[in-house]
Amino acid sequence: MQWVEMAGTGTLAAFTSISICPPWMAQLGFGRENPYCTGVVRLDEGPRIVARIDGVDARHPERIDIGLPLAIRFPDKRPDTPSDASDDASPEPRWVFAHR
Amino acid sequence: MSKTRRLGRGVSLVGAGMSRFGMFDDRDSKDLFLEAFEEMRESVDKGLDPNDIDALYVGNFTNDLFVQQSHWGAILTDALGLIPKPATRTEGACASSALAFREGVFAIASGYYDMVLVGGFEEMSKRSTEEVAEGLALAASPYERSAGFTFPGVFGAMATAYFDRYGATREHLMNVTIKSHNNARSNPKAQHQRTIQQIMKSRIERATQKGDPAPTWETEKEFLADPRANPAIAWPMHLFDCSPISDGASCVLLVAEELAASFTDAPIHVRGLGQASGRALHAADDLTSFEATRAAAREAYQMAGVTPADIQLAEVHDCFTIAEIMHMEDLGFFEAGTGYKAVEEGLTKIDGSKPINSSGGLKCKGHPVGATGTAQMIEIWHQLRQTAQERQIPNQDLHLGMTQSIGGTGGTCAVTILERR
Repeated sequence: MQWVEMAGTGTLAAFTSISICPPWMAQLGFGRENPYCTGVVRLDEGPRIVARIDGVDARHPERIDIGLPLAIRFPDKRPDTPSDASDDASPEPRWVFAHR
Repeated sequence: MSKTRRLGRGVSLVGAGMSRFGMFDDRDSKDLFLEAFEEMRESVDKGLDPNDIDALYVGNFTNDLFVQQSHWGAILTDALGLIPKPATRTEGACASSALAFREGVFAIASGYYDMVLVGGFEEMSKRSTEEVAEGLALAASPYERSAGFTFPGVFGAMATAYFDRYGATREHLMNVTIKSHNNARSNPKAQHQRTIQQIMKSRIERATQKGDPAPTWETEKEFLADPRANPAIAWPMHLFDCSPISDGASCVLLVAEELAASFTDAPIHVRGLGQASGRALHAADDLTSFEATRAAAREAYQMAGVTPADIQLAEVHDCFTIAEIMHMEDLGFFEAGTGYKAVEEGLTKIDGSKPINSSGGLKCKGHPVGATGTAQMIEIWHQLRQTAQERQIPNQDLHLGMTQSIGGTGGTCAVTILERR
């Protein structure tokens, strides 16, 4: 086994906008009134990865297109997160993908 | 070509029973399994002495979590008065009782036992929707969970890939919903026994009685497109795309084929079996198909020596509407990317050329996850024996049916081909 570095860019291969979410996402303020987008990203090098998708309108998933170009981001404290991301118990993802 | 598998000796179903599926606050797993067992016992045409049962295999997924009780093999054996018969619990997420069925078949085929009770059960409704969603998600991959996926979310994402690749839309999924509700109307065990038309009518009446403005839906699809009537769960999966939270139990009685005639003149025989495993979403070879289903189906067809065209009816694992379409394609009933058109053309209705989920499917019959695998076989049992009453498929020569169960988001798949000779 060896490490292979990826550029961190890819395209959206599949996605969903989640309205009924697990309790730990509800704690972050997500839910019926504030859905979030998560999906499968096809990296430019070939492999796929699952990730939260930012920078798209999760309230209007019908307007989100497969094939959307995306780039990885490593959020410290993300302005669009509706709760305190510095909370140790927070399941804040270590990476997300966003429209590029 | 992989090895063609065979049973050491034939195995037959000679009894089948299930509880009503639904949400029951006054009944627990034992009550539900006893209800299924009593119906199974009565279904054995020439009578059954339960003391002749050699062993039990029961499937369950979430009781450890939702009712904080484990060790269900022994507990149910005690409840049935069958101590000290040996009992084993199987767990393969939503395919748990399909795996119990296989273990029972193998135990008889090996010559070790002559008569085995196999079944499954689940008790889900005493928890909140969020708790159930989180519990079921234990069967998803850790990567999916940390990205915020839920079960409906994984199937929703697969649906967007399918829509993009093959040109299907939400409206095509609605055809599956409408069919499932029409079929379940005449299934007395089903959790949801009303057609979409009946649901629309009662909601309009209720609004009128309360003096609220009455909804103006003209068609079933207008109802299903109304976000107040059919809210989003995980785009494009809406409430009416999802199987419900359910309690229930089911079981079938297996015997060695050479003994079947002493229990019934109409036994149902195990003709083909297949089981396979699949990968998580990010590693799947195809986002619009289930690798485990394709592999399990190949094994079952090869063992049975039949082709998809020979299968006259099937119960497939429609935990979500999109799953029914993908499974029909993976089982070879329709070409990849054409399953949604087959539903639109009515081919999968009870009176169509390939009836799918005549029971109402998981969507309407209910999905007490551990009970589902053997409950699917019970529908095939009734259809092949021409005892499905109002939902009987109108074909006097039904002899070959299939069940297909998946666990989780496709990590496990079990396929069974059942035959009436």
